[in-house]
Amino acid sequence: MLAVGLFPSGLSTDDLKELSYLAMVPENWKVIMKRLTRNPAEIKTLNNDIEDQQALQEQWDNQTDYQLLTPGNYFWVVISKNAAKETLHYQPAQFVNKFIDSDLRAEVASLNFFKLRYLTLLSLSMIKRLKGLYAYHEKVIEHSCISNHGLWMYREDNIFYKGYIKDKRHYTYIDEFQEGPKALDANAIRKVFEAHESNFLSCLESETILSIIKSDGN
Amino acid sequence: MDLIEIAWISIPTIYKLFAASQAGARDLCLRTLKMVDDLEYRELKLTILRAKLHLFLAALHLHDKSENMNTNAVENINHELDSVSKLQEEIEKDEVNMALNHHITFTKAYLFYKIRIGRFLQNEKPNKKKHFMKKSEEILQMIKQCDDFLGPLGEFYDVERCKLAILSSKIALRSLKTRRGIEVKITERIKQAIGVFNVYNLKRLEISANYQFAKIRFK
Repeated sequence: MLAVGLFPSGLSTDDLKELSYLAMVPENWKVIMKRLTRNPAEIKTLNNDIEDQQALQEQWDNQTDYQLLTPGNYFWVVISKNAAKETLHYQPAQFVNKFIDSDLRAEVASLNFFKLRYLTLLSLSMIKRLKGLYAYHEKVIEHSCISNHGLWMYREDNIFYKGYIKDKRHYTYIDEFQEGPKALDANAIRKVFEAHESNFLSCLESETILSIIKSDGN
Repeated sequence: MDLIEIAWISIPTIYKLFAASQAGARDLCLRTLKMVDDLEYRELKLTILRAKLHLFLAALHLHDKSENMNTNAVENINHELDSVSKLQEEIEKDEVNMALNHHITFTKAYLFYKIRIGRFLQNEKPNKKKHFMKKSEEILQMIKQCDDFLGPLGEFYDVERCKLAILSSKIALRSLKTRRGIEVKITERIKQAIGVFNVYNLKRLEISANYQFAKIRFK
């Protein structure tokens, strides 16, 4: 709940899968989501037997979040569906974000670090894919990380570069597929950017960054 | 800090590509610069990040068609480049300083070229425009300086060297003094640039270099 609450414009199924792959959210995030969005009637019918509970969990594990969860307004999150892609979008309630910001900043410092790491990878994979699609071309005077030569190259001893960029064929789901139905075109990438715009902006808050630096010490 | 070093240039870049207006990317970059200053950490990587962000802003001003009609744009670009020069005082690493010297001088040379061909300061009166006008020889001299800055730097700066070749060719072809006898050196450099841009898969620059090569051949 905290991890989703840190992203003011929410996360999609694809984002959560990626975050899980990067070990930034638990592997069983679908099951957790299911537990956190059950209505009282559903809870009443639950059998407390441990074996039954385990069987239920296995059943949940085999389903996608699109099959498992019901879109709607929940206490802490609004879940909407994208029928074309058979994915869900999780938008945390505003109070969750405000509460984390005002009362839990120190506690979520490590999660904020994960968030910054993920959104950096997301932005880099968008840039990589746009270049691959020839949707954006480097100019004579470019001065941005579109360039990957000279001054704009990553430092070889940069820890983030070594761990998440160097020798990686793709950074996130954005640049994972070059062809086929799952390959994203420039319009699809723009939509991902628009869906994450507030998330990107939230990476530029002084207090959040200072809390990350204090907790990480690096 | 290693994450910040990459994050705070990649996020403004993605805004530059997608934000509704260039002003959106500029505001975000200014906000990022303020944050780096607020961190109060004096590390080389953060100083270089600040320099990169100032260069990023200079490029935004240079390519923003809505604002490059008047002298404000030139002043803004010069202001950003001056900020980079000031930051160089904090950088002891020769290689970085040489690269920054190149970027400052090359951006200025490109700006003067744009003014010279009338793609900048369209709304200004001729006498004001004249104030910013440089002769072709002076711009070529600036490019020569860039070559000197890049001289000791390695192959990772080949793309920058090839960009210099494109601008040299453009200027030489436009100048009455030089267009008759385009130097063999410029022709050779353009030929090399086509190959380098191809290797780096920089299609727009490769096409631009091919176009320059064709123009030289037709002279």
